[in-house]
Amino acid sequence: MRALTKKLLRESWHLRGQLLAIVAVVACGIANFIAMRSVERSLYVTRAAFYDGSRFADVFVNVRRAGEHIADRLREIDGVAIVETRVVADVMLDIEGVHEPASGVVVSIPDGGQPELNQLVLRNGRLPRSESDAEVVVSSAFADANTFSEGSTFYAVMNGRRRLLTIVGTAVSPEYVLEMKPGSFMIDNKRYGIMWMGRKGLAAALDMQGAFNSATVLLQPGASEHAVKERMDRILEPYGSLGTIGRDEQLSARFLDDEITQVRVQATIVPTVFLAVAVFLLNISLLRLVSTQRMYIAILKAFGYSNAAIGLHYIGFAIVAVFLGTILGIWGGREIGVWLTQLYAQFYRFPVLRFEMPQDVLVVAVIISITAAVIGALSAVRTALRLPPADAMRPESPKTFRPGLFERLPLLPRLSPIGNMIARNIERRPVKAALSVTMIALATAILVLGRFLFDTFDGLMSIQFDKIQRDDVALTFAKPVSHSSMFDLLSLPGVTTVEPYRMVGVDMSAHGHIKRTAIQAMWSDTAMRRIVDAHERIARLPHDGLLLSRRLADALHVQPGDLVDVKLLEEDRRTISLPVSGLVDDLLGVQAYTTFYNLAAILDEQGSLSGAYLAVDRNELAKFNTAVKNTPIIAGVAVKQAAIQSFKDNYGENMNISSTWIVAFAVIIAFGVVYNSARIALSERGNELASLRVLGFTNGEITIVLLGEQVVLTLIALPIGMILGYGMSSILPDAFATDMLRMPFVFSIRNLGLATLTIVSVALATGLLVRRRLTRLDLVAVLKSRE
Amino acid sequence: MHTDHTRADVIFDVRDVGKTYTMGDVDVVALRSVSLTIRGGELLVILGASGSGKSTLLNILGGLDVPSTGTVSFRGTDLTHATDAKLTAFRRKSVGFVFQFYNIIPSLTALENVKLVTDIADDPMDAREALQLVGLEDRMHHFPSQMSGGEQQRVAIARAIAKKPDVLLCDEPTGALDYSTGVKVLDVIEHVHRQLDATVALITHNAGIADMADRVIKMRSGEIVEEYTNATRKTPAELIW
Ligand SMILES: Nc1ncnc2c1ncn2[C@@H]1O[C@H](COP(=O)(O)OP(=O)(O)O)[C@@H](O)[C@H]1O
Ligand SMILES: [Mg+2]
Repeated sequence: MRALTKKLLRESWHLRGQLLAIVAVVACGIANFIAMRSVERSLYVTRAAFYDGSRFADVFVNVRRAGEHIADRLREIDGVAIVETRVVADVMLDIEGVHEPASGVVVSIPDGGQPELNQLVLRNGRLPRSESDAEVVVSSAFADANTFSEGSTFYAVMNGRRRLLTIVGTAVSPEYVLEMKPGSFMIDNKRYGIMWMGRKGLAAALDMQGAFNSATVLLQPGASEHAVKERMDRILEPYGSLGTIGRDEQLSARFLDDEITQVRVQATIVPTVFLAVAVFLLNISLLRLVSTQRMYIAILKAFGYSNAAIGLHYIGFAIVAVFLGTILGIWGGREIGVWLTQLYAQFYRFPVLRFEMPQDVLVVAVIISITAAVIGALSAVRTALRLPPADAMRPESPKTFRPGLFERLPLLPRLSPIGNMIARNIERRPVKAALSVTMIALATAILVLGRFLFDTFDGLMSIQFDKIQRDDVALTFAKPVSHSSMFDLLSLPGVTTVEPYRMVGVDMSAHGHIKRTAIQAMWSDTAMRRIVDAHERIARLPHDGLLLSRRLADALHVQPGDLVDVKLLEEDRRTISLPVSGLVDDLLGVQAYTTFYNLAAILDEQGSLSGAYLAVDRNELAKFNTAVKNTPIIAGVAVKQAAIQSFKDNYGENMNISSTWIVAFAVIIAFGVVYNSARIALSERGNELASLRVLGFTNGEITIVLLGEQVVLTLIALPIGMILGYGMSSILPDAFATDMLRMPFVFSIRNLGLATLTIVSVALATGLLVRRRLTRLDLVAVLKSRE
Repeated sequence: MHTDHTRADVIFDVRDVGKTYTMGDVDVVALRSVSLTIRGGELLVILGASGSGKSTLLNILGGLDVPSTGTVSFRGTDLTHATDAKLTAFRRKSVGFVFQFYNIIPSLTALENVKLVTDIADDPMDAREALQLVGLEDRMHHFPSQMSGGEQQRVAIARAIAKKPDVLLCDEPTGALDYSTGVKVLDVIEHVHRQLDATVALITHNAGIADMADRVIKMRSGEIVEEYTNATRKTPAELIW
């Protein structure tokens, strides 16, 4: 081995503390990069293959009922390749072992077997026989959550009739990669599932022979989706169409798309942060190394080593650290990626979701790492090369100091000499100090942001389940029922209070903007479903006109006082003008609210209800559930306790895992920065510290001198990090707001406290780690050398 | 210029002190067996070639190091078995050090370097006064990088005496200085010695400097080979080396 290489390896070992901190930071960055890029790629490729292979439709539409011949008119539209009609129905389910009534969607498949579009991939079993109205294939997520297997049975209420369904197979479908109940914001595979049944059987059960209520369309390549949708809307309007939607609005497809985008963003931002920290750490550590090795550099130059050889030698230190970090990162990234993929596979159901680490990701990771190493080493190498051999032989001249800015400002307290040492050492290298502060602030901000996401989700849950949803159970009827049904509900076991609601789908338009939404009507003094905004304020229902979700008003460009055109999507499909009387920053969905009596008047009804909110005595809940399962007219049931439980089951653990990761990331960054800065300070000022010991300063006192700088920088970084974290947090709810869900802005002092506590603990622990070296300072040796 | 010591109290009592350093597999004997006493108010010069063990002895006196064998006591208190905390307190309260390399803090001005010590001492003199004693009243607010070597060494002396130490220990204080600057520094040490009536032990390998001492101890290979008292002391200006 060449002598210079030996020097590199031995000295790397000597510097192992600092290099390991860098290794950890690089490893985090690369692991994130590898894991997230691989997951993104896995999801992307798998999705593309699945959508193509099973012919995922481009356009979807539901109608009330249309004769089969109408489909031919759709086929004639320019740009349409395939039209497939089907029958779908929302059903209530009664599953053994699930106390609460569950619900789901039954979708027909053609009599001959596989549909042309949205083909099923059977996981096991077989497709149902076409004429059977009892055989179904169920989605694999639903089957897994309920541990169903072939031959398992459950009850479904279809068209007012309770039927026993038998599972003959499980499948995944491109249409339901993610199964989420519309209007919900959580996955609950146990209580919501997709079923496929033969067309003949389902049509018979629903009295839909010779007709369809859903159509899916595959476009020709290059066709205008917009134009096709417009034509379809016009054709289907008379048949109770709820409007065509493209993939971008299709629930499962949109979620998946958002997820992939998010992963992609993460795969860029997170590694960038880590590698920036790594570059900074390399930069300060190697600069220090070069300055302690001035003499050796001079001797090497005197011996005739070329600049290139010396430059490479110092880049070598960066490469050693980054190389180890990259290896570790690739290994860790693979592991994390595999694990994440498994996690994703629980939520997103593909035929197979296999972790795939693309070769080019590896290549890019290595290139990024080497680039980071070179950038990190650059200024150190430049310093080494600039040293003239003769100059380098002489010891470094005493560092020049000036009175710091802090001392020149009037009115500030005078510092003690030790205070001055700390202040001047910081002010002497303002860029380095600023970068240290930035990095620690970044770590703080990451913690604040992570906690914010956690708190905000908690906040959403508490607003939804404590403030808004005061009922125990929300019932939905298959179609509006007369007001007298309220009394039937009151007679259900355990029911103590009933509050009716009426919901009607509408197309709302103003100023040329149009939005499909719903008007929800409740009692004006509703106690069960209050309208609560993001700031937890309770909005009052207007006596007149509509209260609009602010997001809806924004989309329509209307303000309170304006009129909106409302086209009812029920029965007579009239269009009426209604005044907007208020706006509310609500969190779930976009809709208009009004009083029950208002809407009854608008609809010209005697107080029909779409459903009701119930208070149910907890002790009677079991009886109540049984009764509801046997009430065919009920099409949907939402039990609050079950929703809370399902949230805990599905998300609780994941939230814990991700917050652990976030804390770990921040800790590694803070540790890396504080450790390396303190080690460098120790190396730069070891002599100074030993001199102080000689003068009779205690170990405790020189610890203050050594770590004071880190303490000051950390203290400066904390508020900056908090502000940064607060700023990023305040952008997030808006940035991630969708029609489906807006996050409240929940920011607590506790969040800042936790971040501070974490960063201060890490800084302290790291400081103490370095402090141990102070007891080993060789007082006598220091006095013999000049440096 | 001879000072007669009516005050004959013993400050240091060194008995059979030996010191062996273990460096890897080899043992280096720095001190074999040294015995001596240092009395209050005297100016002692320890003379010897490089490597003869002078610094080792001085470091043991100053509580920077402990002997391998033998005992050292300071005003009757044993330093041999003192804890690190005890030695630190001893240095803080009783010892002033001056070294060949000035070891002053580059980020502090002359005045602040002195204050560093007066801040933690029990009954220090005013830091400005200490700088006046070494003739640096005009340079109090200068940083080390703005001062010459001689000036830096005078700051070190001011820093050492500001706490009014029981003993001032100087290890080759002129070693890094040219002749005339060296004389100036020795002048300051002598001035301080007289003004404060301080006990001073000064190390040098330079026989010429020995003439400014009350008493001279010559060392070779870790042992005291000669000890004598100067009948008259020369001023630094009279010294020749
Ligand atoms: N910390 C140490 N470790 C090992 N050997 C030492 C150490 N300090 C001094 N020595 C050795 O002890 C001997 C005496 O050194 P020293 O007291 O510094 O001599 P002087 O000050 O007279 O030049 C020398 O041989 C020196 O190499
Ligand atoms: Mg010496």
